[in-house]
Amino acid sequence: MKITVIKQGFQDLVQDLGRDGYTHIGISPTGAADKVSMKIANLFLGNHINDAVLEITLFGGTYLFDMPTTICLSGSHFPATIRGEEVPFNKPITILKGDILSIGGSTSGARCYLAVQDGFNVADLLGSSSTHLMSKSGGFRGRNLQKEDQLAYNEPEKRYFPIDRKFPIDYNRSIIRATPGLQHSLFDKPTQELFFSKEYTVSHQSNRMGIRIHGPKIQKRTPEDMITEGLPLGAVQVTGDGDSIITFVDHQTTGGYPKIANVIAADMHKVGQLRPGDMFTFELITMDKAETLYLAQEQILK
Amino acid sequence: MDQNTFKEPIISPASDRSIMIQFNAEISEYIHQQVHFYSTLLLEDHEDKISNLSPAYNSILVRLKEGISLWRTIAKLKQLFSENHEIKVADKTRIKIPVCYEGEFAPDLARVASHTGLSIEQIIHKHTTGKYLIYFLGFSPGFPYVGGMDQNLETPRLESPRTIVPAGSVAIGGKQTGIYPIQSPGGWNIIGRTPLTLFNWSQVKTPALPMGATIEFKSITKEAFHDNQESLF
Repeated sequence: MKITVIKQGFQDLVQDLGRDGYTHIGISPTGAADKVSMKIANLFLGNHINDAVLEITLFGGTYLFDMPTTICLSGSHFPATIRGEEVPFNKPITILKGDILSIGGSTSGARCYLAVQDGFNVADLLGSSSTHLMSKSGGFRGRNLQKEDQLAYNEPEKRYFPIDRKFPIDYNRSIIRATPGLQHSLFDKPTQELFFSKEYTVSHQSNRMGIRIHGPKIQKRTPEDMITEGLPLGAVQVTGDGDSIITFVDHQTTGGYPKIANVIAADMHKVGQLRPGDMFTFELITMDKAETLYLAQEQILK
Repeated sequence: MDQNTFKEPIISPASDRSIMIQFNAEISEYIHQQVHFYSTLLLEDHEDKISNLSPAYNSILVRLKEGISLWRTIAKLKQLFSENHEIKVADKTRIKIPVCYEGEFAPDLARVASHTGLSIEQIIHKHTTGKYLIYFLGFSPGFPYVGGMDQNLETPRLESPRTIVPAGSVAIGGKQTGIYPIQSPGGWNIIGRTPLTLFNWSQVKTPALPMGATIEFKSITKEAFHDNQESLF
C-alpha cells in the first residue's frame, strides 16, 4: 500500500515526534515542526500520536493512493481536493483505491500534516521515522518526496473514528510567548524591553534548523564571547549582526550565541507555522506560567 | 582549577522544558571530567526523566521528557549535586587519525600558511604533534569539539562558509581545530582529510570519536589515503 507522488510539493517530509536520546552524540531530535497539528491529525484517525505523517510546507503536491484507507489533514489550511471535491481539515476522510489527493498552496501558516490510518511506513532509524535532513538520513531516503517516489503506508484495521473531537489550540502566530533566555542578563534592561516590544519579520533564510528574524538591532552589553553550550529548542539566539535566530527542530545541538529569550513549549507549534514575511511580537511570561500552559496543552492532546 | 576552587554547579531552567547545569566558567580538563562524569551518570540513571542531554565544555543541558516537572527535576538535580561523588572517568582512549594534507584534500592550507607565516611543512608538523582532547560532541552528528591546538596555527574562519564540507575533512577555525564526521556546511579552513569513516548510524552509541578520548593526527600520502578506506569501528 503506497502513495505515488505525481506532482512534487515544496518540501514534503516524513516526520513523527522526533528521535530523542542522541543530542550528546550531536544528533538533533528533528520531528514535526508543528507537533500539535501532527498529533491532532493522528488523533482524528485513532492513531498513535507518534505515527509517521507527511509534513507539507508552503505548497503541497499530488498523490495517488493505490489502496483504500482513511486520511486526515490538520494544521494550517491548504486547499485540497479529491475527485474534484474539497477536502475538509480535521476530519477523517475515506480514500478509495486510485484516489488522487491534490494539495495547493497554504492560505495561512507554513505547514499542514497529512496523516494516514496507522501511519506511513518507512525504515526505522534509532526508534524514529523522522527525516534528518542534515545527514540525509531517516524518513524517506533522508530527503523530501520527489516526483514518482512511492511512500508506503500501513494496512488499516477496521476502526470507528472518534467524531466531533475539539482541540482548543491557539494558532495566533502574531504573538509568540517566551521566557527569559539563559544569557538574558548579558543584555541591559532597555535592550530587553526593546526586544519584547518591537515587531519581528520572518526572513526567507529560515528553515527547520532555525527561523531567522529581522527586527530592532539587539546588541549585548559586553563584546566577549560566551562558551559554547547546549541549545534548548526555541532558544532565541542573538547573532553578531543583530538579527536573531529561533532555534528550531533540526537545530545544531550546541551553539555559542547568547540567548535572550526562549519560546515556550506551548507556543512551539506557532513557530512551526511561521512563514517568510510573517510579523509577530514576543510576549514575556514567567517560567511557572509557561509550565502551566505546557501541561494544559498536553491534556488537550491526549 | 582543582577541587579546592571547584564550585557546585548552578542549576536553573534554560526553558520551560530544559535545565542548564553550569559549572565554573572556564575550559579545562578538570571541569571536563566533572561534565563527563555527571552526563554519563544522568544518561544512565535518569532515563525516565531526561529525553536528551547536551554536555559541552563547562555545562550540561538537560531536556525533559513529556510530562516531567521542571521544578521537581531541578530540586532532584540540586540534591544529586550536593551529594559527594567520586569523580571517575575511564582512562583516555588515544585515537590516531591518518590525514592527507595534500592537494584537493587541503584547499585552505595556503590560506593558513599566509595567515600564520608558517610553511606548509611547519603547519603539518605542528598539527600532527598536538594531542587533542575531545571535550564533547555537538553541532552535527559525531562532531567532536577538541582542545589543544598550537595557538600559532590560529587562522580566522572563512568569510563565507562553504555549503559542502566533505566527510573526513580536518580544519582550523579560529583557535580551534576539528574534523567533520559527515558532510555538512562549514566555515573552517580545510587543511586535510582522513580516509576513515567517522560516523556510522548503526553504531551511534559507540561513536568513533567519543567524549573524553584524545586524538592525534598522522600525516599520510595520497596513495596511502586511497589504500586506507577503513573505518574506526
